[in-house]
Amino acid sequence: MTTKIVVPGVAGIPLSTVTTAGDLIAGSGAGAVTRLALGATDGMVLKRVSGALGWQLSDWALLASSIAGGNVASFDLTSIPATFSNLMLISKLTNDGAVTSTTGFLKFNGDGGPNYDFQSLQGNNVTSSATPTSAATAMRVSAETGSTATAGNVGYNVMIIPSYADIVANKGVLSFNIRQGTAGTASTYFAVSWMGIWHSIAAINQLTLTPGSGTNFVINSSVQLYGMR
Amino acid sequence: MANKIVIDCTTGELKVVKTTKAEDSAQAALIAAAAQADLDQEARAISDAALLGKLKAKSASSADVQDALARILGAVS
Repeated sequence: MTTKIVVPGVAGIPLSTVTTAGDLIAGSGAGAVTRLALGATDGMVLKRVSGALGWQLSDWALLASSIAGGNVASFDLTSIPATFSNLMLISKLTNDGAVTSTTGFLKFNGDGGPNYDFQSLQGNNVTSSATPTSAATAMRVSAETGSTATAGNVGYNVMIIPSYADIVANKGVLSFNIRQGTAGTASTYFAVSWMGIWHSIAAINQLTLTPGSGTNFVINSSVQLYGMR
Repeated sequence: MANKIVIDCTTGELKVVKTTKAEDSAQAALIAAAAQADLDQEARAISDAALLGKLKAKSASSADVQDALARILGAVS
């Protein structure tokens, strides 16, 4: 036997209001409801958007994540949406070159022209140094260990790209790296910060990382790209 | 050709695709240019004649560095 609760004078919400898995029913006014479809992509959260209930990527969203399962020549992050204020790229990198460590390469929007300037401030062993570079064809603001580094040692990098979707200003990068080539050999210890400038006012929609030595990033190298609203 | 990872940051789709010959060539050129820039930077940083021997031993087979060395020796002699 089934029991139904019937409230006189109150109409039920028709089942036909929802049409697709994940649909929600939202109030659209006094005594009125409407269908709210599930957010279009993973990572979206339900929040107030422009005065209404809606799905939107969270204020801190993971846009891309990859861990190399084998050798890869590059990490190419494409179709970066212009809907955030800033980007943060975190990477863990080792290449297959016969070096203990080296700087790597970063390009924006596939631009291989001489449009990149950068400046390092480096601590290595007991020595500090600063190095400017102008009109390079890629930005060198990250670093990775190579095949002769102590096993398990990698290059850790954190980059922040403010106002990446701006179409008025040239783009800037603040980047930080730590790496140890050979355990116990202080001449292979590095702590580096960089500034980088890309001479373009185009919104950044693509980041391409390639190794600074050898031809590949090796297994377990990884990148994560976050958008910050 | 090698594998590369391509991630579409709008859809989240991840693909492993082959690099093109043009990409391989561009990457090789990038590494060569960076190596030369590093050598040039190292050469500029050397102002002590005692360090010149170290550089010479390190790169006896490199014509570019030999050239840089000659310029440095000319500058300090």
